[in-house]
Amino acid sequence: MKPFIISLLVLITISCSSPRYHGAEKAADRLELYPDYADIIIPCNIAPINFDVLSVADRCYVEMSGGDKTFILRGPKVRIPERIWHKMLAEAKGSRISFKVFVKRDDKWLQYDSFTCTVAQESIDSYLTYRLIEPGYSNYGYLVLRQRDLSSFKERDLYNNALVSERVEQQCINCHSFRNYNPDTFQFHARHTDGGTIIVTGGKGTKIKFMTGDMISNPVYPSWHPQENLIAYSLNSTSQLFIAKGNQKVEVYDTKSDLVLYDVYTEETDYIVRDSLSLETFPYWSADGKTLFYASAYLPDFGAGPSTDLSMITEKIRYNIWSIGFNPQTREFGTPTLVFDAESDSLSAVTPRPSPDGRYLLSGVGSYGSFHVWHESGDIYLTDLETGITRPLDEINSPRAESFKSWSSNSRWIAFTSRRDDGSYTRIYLAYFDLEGNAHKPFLLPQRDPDQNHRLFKSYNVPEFTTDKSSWTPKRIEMIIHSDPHQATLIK
Amino acid sequence: MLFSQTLGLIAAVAIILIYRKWFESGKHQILFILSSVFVFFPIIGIYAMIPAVFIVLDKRDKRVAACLAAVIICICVPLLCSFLPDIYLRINRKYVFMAGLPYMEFQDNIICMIPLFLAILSTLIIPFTKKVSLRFSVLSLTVAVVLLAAFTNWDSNFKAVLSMERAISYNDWNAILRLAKRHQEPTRVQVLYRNIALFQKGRLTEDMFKYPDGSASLRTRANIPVSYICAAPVLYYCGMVNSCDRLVMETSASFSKNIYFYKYQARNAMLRGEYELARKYITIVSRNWFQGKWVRRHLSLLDNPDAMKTDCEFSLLLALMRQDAGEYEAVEPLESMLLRNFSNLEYVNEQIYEWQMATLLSWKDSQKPVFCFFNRASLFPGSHVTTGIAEAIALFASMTGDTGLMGNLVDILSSQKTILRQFGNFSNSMNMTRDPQSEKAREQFKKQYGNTYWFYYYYNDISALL
Repeated sequence: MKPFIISLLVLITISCSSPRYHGAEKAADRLELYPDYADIIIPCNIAPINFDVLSVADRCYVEMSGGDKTFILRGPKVRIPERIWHKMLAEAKGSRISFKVFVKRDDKWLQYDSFTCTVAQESIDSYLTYRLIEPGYSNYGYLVLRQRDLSSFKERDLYNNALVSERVEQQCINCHSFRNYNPDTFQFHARHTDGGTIIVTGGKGTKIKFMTGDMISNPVYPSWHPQENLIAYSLNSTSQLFIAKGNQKVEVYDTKSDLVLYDVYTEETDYIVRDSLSLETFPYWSADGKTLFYASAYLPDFGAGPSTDLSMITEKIRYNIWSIGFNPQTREFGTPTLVFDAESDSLSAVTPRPSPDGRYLLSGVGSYGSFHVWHESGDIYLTDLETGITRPLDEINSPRAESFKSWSSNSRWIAFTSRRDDGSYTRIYLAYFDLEGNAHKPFLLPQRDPDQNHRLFKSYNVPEFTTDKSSWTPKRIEMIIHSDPHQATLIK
Repeated sequence: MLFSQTLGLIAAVAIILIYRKWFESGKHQILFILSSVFVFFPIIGIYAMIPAVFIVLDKRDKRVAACLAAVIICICVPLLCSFLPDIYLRINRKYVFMAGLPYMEFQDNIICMIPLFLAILSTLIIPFTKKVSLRFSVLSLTVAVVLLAAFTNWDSNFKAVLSMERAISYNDWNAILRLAKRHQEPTRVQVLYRNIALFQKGRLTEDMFKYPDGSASLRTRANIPVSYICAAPVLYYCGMVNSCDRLVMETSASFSKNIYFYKYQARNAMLRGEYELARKYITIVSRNWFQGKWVRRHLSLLDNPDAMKTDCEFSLLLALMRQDAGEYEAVEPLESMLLRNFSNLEYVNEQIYEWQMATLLSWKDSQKPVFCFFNRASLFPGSHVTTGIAEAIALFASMTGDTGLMGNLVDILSSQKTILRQFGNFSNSMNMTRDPQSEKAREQFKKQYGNTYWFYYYYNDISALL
């Protein structure tokens, strides 16, 4: 027994001793990391930024220092314990965490230039909800709306279609939207099997059937009014063209679209904008609820009319960003105002997202069309609503498609999806947005194992922040989906 | 699918072993049944019930109570699981008793449920049989064998398709051609695979009408379309990589992701120059123990993409990708997609010309091939004309009645006069036959001209291409 205890103690002593990399020489090559977390600004409540050191090494250690604390982590797969990480974030709030990477190569210890992460004073909303879907076209299998705790790696299903959909009787779920970051007031659409729009307000959920009269489609892109129980929707008659040659595989375009306002209490729908010469889509409310932003393409501008076959001119269709005033008391809309004239720069701007502080507006911009997730030209643009100046947000754009985006409730963080990694599967990136109106280097949503991004053959889409976890479970939502739908009334 | 069934059975056997090792001697069989079904049902579905049936069968004193308890547990636990919030999040109540089974194939095929009914019936009968006699065992085994034989698909075409797919995965084009020769009434899938093999051997329009053609039924229970079975290889080897990618993505999203699809997705990405995406797919393929050779080959090409231009597989596909194809609207019948892809009549290169002519001739288009043929002949005077094309153009030129056109053809085919002579004989025989569409005439022409385009044109039904 005694020799065993002595051996064990020796073993423990050896394993606990600090690695002998002190006095390491400076590495000649450049440090390669995945994901690239060097020189980023991170929220003070984010999950550990686990990363892999890709530079060739027989052994690897990383010294992580922040405040007056230093931790030694074993590489090349650097996994930071959550408890240590959150202590480190608390210590370094408003300052920096530095990472020194040491590698042993050919029996020689080498040190790379250290890199740092700045810990912002501002936190990020606790939860992010997104849909996981294959980047397919018309078929789908297992789809899930998932909520991620951004301070850890915990994920939970808000709803998944496996509860209802099974291969031959599939159900699509899309367009989730929360009212003013509230996790228990939200909506999403279920299509096909047991279809309808699921609207949840607090503890109550309802399934709504909208299609009635001469509506061109069911509601598609939603935006909850931040204070009132109203949802602005676009109605979109959408088509797809499959492209046989080149790297763009599909073109998604609208042949008709209108805007409607839905009252959750009275279950009444009314038109906001209905013009056969224009395609209006992607409505989004300002934080004060007094302005509705949307994208609009005026058909005569590109030589088209209501009866034109738009499939022949998809590359000519360009949208601008408009706004329209709204009086929440009288529920009357004002006159549309042009916010971003993208068309004059031969660009097409869609998906307006005003910041909660009311100062800025993000738009998705591409060389044409409305569905930029399939356009390599898809970028994010920023409009200063005070000065009216719009610029590409080059700090976060990449040569590949950037698409869905949203603001954190404090307007300091942007979550957006990008295909920059491989051109096909979208991933969520987060970026700090400072008070001067500049975005900072974006970083990939931290994962327990970053290699998950390589193994997951699904795209993340529509990342939406909420301030807390939703109290709703998939089974509760399933009960609404199986319930009898309420038929919404169309006023005009 | 087979994989999940095997895993289900392995898990069921493991549960039985656990029971044998630790619970058999105790008096907690019912508790064990209850807990094993409760724990394992969400993981392995219906297979969690196999141990329950086994335990009841295995008990020496087959008490009615134990058997009834097993049946009740097997019915109630899955239902209960499907109602529990938070724990069992992905159980669809409608198919709760089919979880883990390939129940898409069960749709509208109640006959496939017979084994399940038999299992339930056996469980209920067991208590009333004091001991299982030899006669009863032999009878059970016989019934099982008969059922298995009755519901097995013995279709030789299906077997040939599987062998062809295996050969495609090894690029063993000779094996496909051997199989194509052997089956006289092939399905469209076999015909398409045969054409791929002929193209790879450089003999598509030379030999395609010398092989049996046909459109035999696929004999699938769920009426599965041709495109679902063979779209990936056909579109890929025709250089239609975007369409291939789309169909693979759609199918794998709807049914299941697997190595077969990942391999096509990897190669499509390589051909489009999307190397990061290709590496992602190859990495996932590399996790399979049996794909080492394939992975090494494709990683080496990925490390040196220029090598694709000289690689025998990729160089052909890169040549085919130069086809100026437009936009497609919706999922179409597979052979219509081929026709549309190769309907641009401009001469691009020999590879595209081969598929263009093969497709147009398959569809019995009598005008476009004539244009393509004379266009190429004017661009490359003296170039070789394959037998299939020569036969087709002779037929189409004679159908126009244009003597000038016929004269040009005679000039072009000056070194292949035998074909023109044979065509003369064929035309005479046709004119002299009283009822060319009769079965007797068909058999007669098949003996003499079964290996020619003329026989294909007059006697092959192409309605299955639509």
